[in-house]
Amino acid sequence: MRYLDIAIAALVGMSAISGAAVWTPRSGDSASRQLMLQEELRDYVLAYLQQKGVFWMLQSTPESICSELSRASNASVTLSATIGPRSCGSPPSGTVYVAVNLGMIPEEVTVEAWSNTLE
Amino acid sequence: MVKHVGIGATSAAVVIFAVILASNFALFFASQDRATMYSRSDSESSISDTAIALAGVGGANILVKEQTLLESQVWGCSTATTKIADETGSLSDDQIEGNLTVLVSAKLADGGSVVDNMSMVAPFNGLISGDLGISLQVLAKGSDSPEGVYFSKHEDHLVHLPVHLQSAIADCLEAVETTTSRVSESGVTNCTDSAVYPVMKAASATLASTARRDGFQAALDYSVDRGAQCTVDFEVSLAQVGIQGPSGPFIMRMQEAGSATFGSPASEPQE
Repeated sequence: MRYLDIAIAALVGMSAISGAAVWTPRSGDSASRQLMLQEELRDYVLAYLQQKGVFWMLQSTPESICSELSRASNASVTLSATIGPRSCGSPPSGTVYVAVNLGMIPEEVTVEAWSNTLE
Repeated sequence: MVKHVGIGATSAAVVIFAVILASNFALFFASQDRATMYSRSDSESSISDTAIALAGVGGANILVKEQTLLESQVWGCSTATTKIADETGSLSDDQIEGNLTVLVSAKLADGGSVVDNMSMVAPFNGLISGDLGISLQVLAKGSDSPEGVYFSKHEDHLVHLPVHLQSAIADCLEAVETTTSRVSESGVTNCTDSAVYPVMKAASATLASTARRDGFQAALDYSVDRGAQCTVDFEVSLAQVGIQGPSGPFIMRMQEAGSATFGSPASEPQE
């Protein structure tokens, strides 16, 4: 009978710990944080476009657009772009990513941003 | 006694772990709600940011189209305002991103200096006195998903191109009028090139001086028609060169034809 009690108590305990591990509040928190970082990154890209304007892209070669975006990148945010069929290169590693499509004449430009540590 | 202690311990363990599990569930659902709330807030912010970006790009495309329109033909000085207003009124640009659609349409705006916050189209945002002003109507509509956040916004913006349309028209029409009256009142009686040339040279010099003052290049071409009357057919050409447009430098050209007769009633008393 004692062994039965221990077994039931152990079963209840293990079930509770498993439940706590599976339905951990951390999953919701990390999803919220991911969304918050994406929002901040999108704001960063938009602020950059508003400060810099878009016409310089029309009058620049894809190479100079890429180098300009590279210059505008910093330790926490990497900016890149796809200009028509051309891309600035392989994407960096980053946990948060946003893309802003600019359907410009004569070519569509997609400004991309990656971040690992944006706060 | 031992049996009762065992049942008590088991019951206590069940109660304690149930409380822990319930607390964990409460925190879990609260964090899920928070994530949903962030997600909704992020959707709102994302749609709003995307709409701003698309409106800016739509405005930029309208300016590019306006530049293409202005450099596409030689405009008649007397009809340029109406024609350019009509053709600008038909310019529009659609930007679509997911379920969000931003429609930008244009019309000519009245002059004056006005500041506008559409900084993505800088340096062409706002109105500058003397430049060609364009009013943009921006209509953004859409949602992040069929059941999600619905977004609808209407905005008006003012942009400009550094084209001095009204000044060019005024100089051009003034040149036509001045040349006509110079020819008519010149007092020239013989219809020879050597007699006509000084009159037209003087008219051309006046036109060039006025045009240079206002930042234009100008030319006056003419031909003499020696029919029943001595008639000079002329053409005033005016160009604004090196306009820094959104897709690079361009030229706007204007032209107006005129005709004047030597020995017209105004000059008859001198004959």
